[in-house]
Amino acid sequence: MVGVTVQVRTDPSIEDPPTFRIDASGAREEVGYFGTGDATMFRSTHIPSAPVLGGVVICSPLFEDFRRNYRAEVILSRSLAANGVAVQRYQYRGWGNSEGDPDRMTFGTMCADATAAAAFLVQTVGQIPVLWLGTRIGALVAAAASREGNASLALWEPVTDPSSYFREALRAQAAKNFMQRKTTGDGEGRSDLERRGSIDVVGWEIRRPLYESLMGCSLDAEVGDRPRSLLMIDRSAAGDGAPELAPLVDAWRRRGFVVQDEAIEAQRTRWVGIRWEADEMFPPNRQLVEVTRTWVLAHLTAAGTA
Amino acid sequence: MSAPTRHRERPGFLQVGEESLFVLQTEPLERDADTAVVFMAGTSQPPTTERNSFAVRFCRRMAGLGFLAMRFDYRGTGESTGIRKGTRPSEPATEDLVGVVGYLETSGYHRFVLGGTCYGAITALTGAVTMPAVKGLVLLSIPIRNYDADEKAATATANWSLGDWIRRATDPRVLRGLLDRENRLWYRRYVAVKLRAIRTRGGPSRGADRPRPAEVASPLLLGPLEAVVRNGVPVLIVYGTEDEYVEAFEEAMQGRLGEIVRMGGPLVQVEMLRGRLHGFAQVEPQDDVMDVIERWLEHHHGRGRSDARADVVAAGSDPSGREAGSL
Repeated sequence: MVGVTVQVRTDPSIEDPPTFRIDASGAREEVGYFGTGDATMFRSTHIPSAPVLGGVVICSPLFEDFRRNYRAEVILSRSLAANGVAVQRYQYRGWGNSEGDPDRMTFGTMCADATAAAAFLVQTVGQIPVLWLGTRIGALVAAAASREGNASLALWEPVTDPSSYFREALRAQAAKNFMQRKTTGDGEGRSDLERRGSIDVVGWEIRRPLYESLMGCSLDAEVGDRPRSLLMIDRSAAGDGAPELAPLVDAWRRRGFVVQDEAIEAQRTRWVGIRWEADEMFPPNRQLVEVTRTWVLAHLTAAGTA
Repeated sequence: MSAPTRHRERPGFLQVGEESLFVLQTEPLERDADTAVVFMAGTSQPPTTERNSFAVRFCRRMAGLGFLAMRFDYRGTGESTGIRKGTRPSEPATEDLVGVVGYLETSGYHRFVLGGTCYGAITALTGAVTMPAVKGLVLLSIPIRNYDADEKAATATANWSLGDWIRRATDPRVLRGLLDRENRLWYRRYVAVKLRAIRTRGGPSRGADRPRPAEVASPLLLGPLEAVVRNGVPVLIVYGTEDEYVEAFEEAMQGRLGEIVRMGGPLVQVEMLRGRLHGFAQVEPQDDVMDVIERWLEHHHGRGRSDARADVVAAGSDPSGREAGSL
């Protein structure tokens, strides 16, 4: 085809090969799968050219947060890999490009998937210190999966209380129904969840097993009591801060946690619409990536000299 | 509801021009067709999943019918490299699409069905004009107007009467607006669309008689659509009854768009689904549209497998996971 170069890269040395590209920094970026059968998960693995200071496992959010956050995670991963940090991104079983039954997706399976992703990273790169990053609902997953190893943890706009998170979602759908002159309210949404097993929230199907498994969870409980290093990034209204985060940060500091907290310019409302703009150029994304990269490198460098 | 599909998914990076595009092929376990279905998302991130994993479910369903299904991230989105410039209807991702189809051709596929939603539909339509191997088009919630040229407001005002125009033109706020360069550009567009409307009608609007509505459909839509219809390509156009484009679509069907659709005869099929399909903002139309597309594909392209084998699969469908087609 004139003017278009078409080439597929494959790695012939592995039977079911992931495919890869080499970044400008020399880092290798692989896409593929890990796991088997219904536990087969889509992955993106970023491997620095050398030397590897450590690794980060990224626990992505769900639903509308997944859409608005995806590219920022890709940009961060490439930035980290260019600076000697391996990164493992993945999609949960029953979600995105992964296999698995969405009706079996729960907080528990999400945590197990995160643990498997970390194991895959270490298997791929070798024994390295691993940090964690979680966004929104993914923050609870990252907190839970990292608790046993007491690993350092970065939290992007974390959900602290899933019941509030889902209440906000149901209200967004109720508002949308109101605008379309339908009469359902968020109360009807909850009864739909119980009666039909799922609810439609602006085109996302929220299923009861996931909903029920998250009820009763809290970020504080998942972070645990053993002091560790945290990066808390608040992306709520600029200058105000999400009201639930400041008390949590204070409580952690009183318990001996080392917490760096940052406020970055607000994003649009989570459950309605999505900002379409080149993510690389969007100043809040650039700040988000820079702050996180700096924190990760500082922690891995300190770990290396400890 | 279709039986559970069996498939194999192969992700990869495809070099198209200066960028590496993330592509994901969903292959049927048994392939005996040379038709590939390429799906293009709207403005969702990442495009390879779309809202509620629509793109994933759609491609797996296509593979279940025996087609190779391909989805990809536009440059600057998802896992692909590059910087996204925007999703304007006037700038479809044609280069990306041409690269993807070119790769599939080198893999032995010679017939393509292109499907897309909103921006993806514009990309599919625009690409189809230049690729004779395209044998079917599925256009979901395709925009009627070119929003980045502000055709939405411009075409709305084109239906004003002469009295409406005089009243608006002498409004002090409008006159003040002439001091702003950007406003002057917008006003010029309105006038241009109005003049086009007058030429279309064969004269200016006078009095209470309402003439034929001004052409609201963008040339970006009409030109390519007419070209593919003249080439005999089957086209499926689908909207949700609550899509914001439906009103403009129905208005446009009274003009040139309607002429093109009628010209296509049975090759052009228009479907309206209950609910909001645009942006896949409701779950129910997501499932309904896959049923519609599957019936349309069967009608125009048969199944990816031979009809005989398809009957065997349908009869022997087994939730325990036996390989499709085995006896």
